[in-house]
Amino acid sequence: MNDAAILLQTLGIMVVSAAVMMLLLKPLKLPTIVVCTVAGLLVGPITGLLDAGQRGDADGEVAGAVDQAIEGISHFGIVLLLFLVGLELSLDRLRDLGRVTLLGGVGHVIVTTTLGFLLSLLLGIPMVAAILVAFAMTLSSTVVVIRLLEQRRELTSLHGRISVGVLLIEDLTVILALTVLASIQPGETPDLLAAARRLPLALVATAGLLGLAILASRHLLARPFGFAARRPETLVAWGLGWCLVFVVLAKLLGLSAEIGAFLAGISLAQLPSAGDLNRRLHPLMNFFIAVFFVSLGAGIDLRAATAQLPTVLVLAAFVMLAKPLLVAFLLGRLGMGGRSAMLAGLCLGQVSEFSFVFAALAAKTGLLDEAMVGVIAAVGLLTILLSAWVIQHADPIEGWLAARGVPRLLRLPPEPPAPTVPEAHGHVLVVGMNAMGRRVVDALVAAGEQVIAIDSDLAKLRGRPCRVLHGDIDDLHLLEGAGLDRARLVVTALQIEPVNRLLAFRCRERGVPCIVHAFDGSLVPDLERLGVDHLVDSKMQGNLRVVSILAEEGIARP
Amino acid sequence: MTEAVLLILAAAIATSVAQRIRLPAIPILVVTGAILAALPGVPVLDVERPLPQLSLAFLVFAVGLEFEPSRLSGQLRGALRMGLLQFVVVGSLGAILVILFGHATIVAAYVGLGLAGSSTIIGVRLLVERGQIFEPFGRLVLGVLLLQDLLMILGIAGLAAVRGGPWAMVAEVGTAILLFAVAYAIVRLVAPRVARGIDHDPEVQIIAALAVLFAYLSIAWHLDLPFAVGAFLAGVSLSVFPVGGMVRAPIAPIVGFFSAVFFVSLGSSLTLPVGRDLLLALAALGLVLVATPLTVAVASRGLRLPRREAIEAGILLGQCGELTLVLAVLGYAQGELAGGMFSAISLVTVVSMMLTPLLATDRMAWWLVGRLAPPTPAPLPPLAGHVVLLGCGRNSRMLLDLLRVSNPDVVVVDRDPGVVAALREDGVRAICGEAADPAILDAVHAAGARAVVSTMRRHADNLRMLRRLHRPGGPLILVRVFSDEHADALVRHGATVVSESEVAAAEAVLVAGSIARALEPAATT
Repeated sequence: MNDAAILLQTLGIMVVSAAVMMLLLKPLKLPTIVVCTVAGLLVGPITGLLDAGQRGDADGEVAGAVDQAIEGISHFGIVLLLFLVGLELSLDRLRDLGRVTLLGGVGHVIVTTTLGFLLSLLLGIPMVAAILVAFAMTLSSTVVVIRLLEQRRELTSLHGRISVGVLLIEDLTVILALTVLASIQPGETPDLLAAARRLPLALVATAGLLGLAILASRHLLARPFGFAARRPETLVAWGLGWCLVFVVLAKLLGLSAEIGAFLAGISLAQLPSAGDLNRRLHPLMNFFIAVFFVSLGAGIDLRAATAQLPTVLVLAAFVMLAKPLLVAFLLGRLGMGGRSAMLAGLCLGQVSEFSFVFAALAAKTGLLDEAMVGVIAAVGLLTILLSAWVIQHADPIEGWLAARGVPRLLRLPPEPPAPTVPEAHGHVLVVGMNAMGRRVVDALVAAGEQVIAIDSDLAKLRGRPCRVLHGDIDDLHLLEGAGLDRARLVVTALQIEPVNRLLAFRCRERGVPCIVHAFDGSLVPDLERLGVDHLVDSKMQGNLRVVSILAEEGIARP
Repeated sequence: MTEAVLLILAAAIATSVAQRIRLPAIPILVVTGAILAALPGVPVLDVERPLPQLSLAFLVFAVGLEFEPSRLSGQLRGALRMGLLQFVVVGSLGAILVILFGHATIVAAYVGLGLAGSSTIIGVRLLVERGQIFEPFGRLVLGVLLLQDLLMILGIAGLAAVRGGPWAMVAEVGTAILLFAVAYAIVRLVAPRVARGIDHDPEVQIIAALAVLFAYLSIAWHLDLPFAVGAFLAGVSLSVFPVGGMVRAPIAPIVGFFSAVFFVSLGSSLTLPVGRDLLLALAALGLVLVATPLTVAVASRGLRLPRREAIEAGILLGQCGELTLVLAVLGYAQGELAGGMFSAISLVTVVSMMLTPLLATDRMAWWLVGRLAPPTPAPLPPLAGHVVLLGCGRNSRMLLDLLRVSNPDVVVVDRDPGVVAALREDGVRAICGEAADPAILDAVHAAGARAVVSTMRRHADNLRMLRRLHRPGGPLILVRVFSDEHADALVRHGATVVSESEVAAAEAVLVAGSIARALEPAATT
């Protein structure tokens, strides 16, 4: 078997196992990354299927090349993940995070790391490893929390926004930590003092790169990305190209690829096409990151983890019990209401996927041994798995804790009346800003309807008298963002038949009435078969108008 | 990492250039790869390495995803006739050409198969841009392209077993057909149910779709089929509505990324063909550009396709496709094609893909119609005060019926001989020809009519007609049009415009109002 065949087979085992686990574990509503990691465990340490898949060549030479390719794909997934986190973090949003998030986030990182360090020492972990383990335990998972808050439609709630803010502060600290780790050469004797000496240089380089990102964002990128946004493939290629330019610059400055990707994302975040770019890159990231998590699961040394089971359980308890209470306490001290502080704390009760990356990098530099990497991975897996359940049941858990006086014990202030963030409800989605769509929007807005206009061309959305969304309507993320489930009506003016059909199908599945533009008579039977009740046949309407004009002119009888 | 950076930066440059000069991205990506490889110090991004091969699987998967059988509905007979004729004639001529140049039969088979198929990506893109994808002619061309993709894949399966002899080839093709049939049957029964279950989670959709791809790759591997066959069948099995619609959108960025990797790597692996290889490439290019339109023109006769559409179909199909490049890579990787021949096939594909958008213009079509058109039909007896209806397709038949009720003196011009014959049987005066053609307009005495109603889709045709007919005291010229920009231009040229978008919007708002009223009592109760 050649290397291409082995790569396809290896990826095949990874992807198929992930898909099978997703279908089997669907009732548990677990985050995809948890399922992928479990799939990795299954095909790796449990069944050894992945190893067998790679043993297609006798001498193992080819498998080495394939491992390298899988590692490359995984690493690219992490780079993309950080790029997308950056893309969501515009400079405006950074400023808007406010005092609570900033102080709460920084305070939580310091206090939790300190307590984690002390606990690690008590567990008999050597000092340097204890610092690293404590920091790894401090980080919570941006992907897990955001994904679950999205599913629960709580991203805009007070505790949702604060959780995201704290996570972003954690992301910044992990970037700094990764930078420090990257500055330590593999094989070097671990010397924290030397690393500390390198820190100012790394910080200057990071600040320089951030400055470049801000400058580019304000003075360079708007025009070229405006041009690129006209074609999706150009936008994606430019987005990735810009990301990799920063990755190369970061490497040249001695920083990690991840920080380069993150800063590249920040520099693009304020562009009008950022949302569209984010949505278009998500599938790519999902694939790469799935490979990363399956290979992560496959690489977990279960024997090492079980050998240190008490350590794993104690650390997991710390992450799931102590960390949420600490976060809630700190947020309460900063004036946040008891309920929101508790909910935000509960959201952060898990270990981040970046902890895995952090641990892997630390192992490369020799600061952590493989057994400890296994412990961190096991704690990560356990806490992500359990916290997914906790977040899904956060309200009753918070109620249970409140009934037992936990907020009083933590001296949390009473919850002030929450300022509500308006969410589209009972609105009308108008898809396709062609001549018909524009007229429909104007008429509905004039009639007092709450309208969201959607188009894949930014230029067509400019000047519309309502909320607008940029992107392709066949993208489910976009539809969710537009609140399809809560919409009163959908009108599609598009002249793209497959997209209209899919939209009509999705509307029917969700019980939302949909008016479809049948721009050609041949489409009518198909759409009627699909159960579309409201068709607008523009050709027929045009014909009726022609006859009425001829009648007005006395050429035809009325 | 260096290779990834190079590949993505090259893709970014290539897509921008393609967008700027309005050419398809594929040939520009290949050319960019070739330029990149020619730069000193830049490593060759070998197409045989694992990542480009994985990319190839994604590319073929995407081609299969387009194979929605309902797209062939109503045009299957025509597509079979036109597609098979082009495939056999151009493929055979290509193979003969290669043998004449002194190459082995196996090389001739590869080149012949490579030249026989056209590019679905280019064809679909041009049809969409020109607003012809839903016209019967557009559906016919699409049908031909999809059919040729299937034939190419079966050809790839057969060629993979060429060393085993003819029976091995037949067995391989038979296995591929069987797998296709089994997959299609399963998908028709299972896919819609699965689709409903996964339509709330894009991540699951992506992973599930990719799992299907890799499962088919594994089946193909176990059946000794080339993995391109497995990738194509995986795409086909997900192409049926609604699964196809759900999968295409989230998969598109992944396919786009890997396609860019594949085409840049391919370009990077090419060398400029010289000597006899270059001559063969030029001859093959000429064959594709000339023989394809001619064959299509011959095939279109029996389909009663108007001459202009036959010419346009020929031009739209006159290039090699993305599967030609896949075939070339597979032949090169299996050692059946030498480096020079691999480069020659790729060169023909790239150049023909670049030429198609330049040749498929209204001006070129009219120029060829002028040289190949049959004599203009005899003019009707002198008429005045009548109504001329330009174009009487499916959407305009109701208009004709309404007009005939109120003004029986209606003359119709349509380019479809079948439509014209049916109208004549119905007692309508009708003439067959291009409605924008001045000679045809004269033949129906349009200048002396009370009104001319145009339902022609193409903006350029309407402008051409207006230039001929608009004058003070001339007929009232009504044009049915959707776009505001086109409407403005037509008004400037003297037309009275009936805006479809305006009347459709008014209707949509009316329906929206009635839905809102219907929902109100439910909301209050």
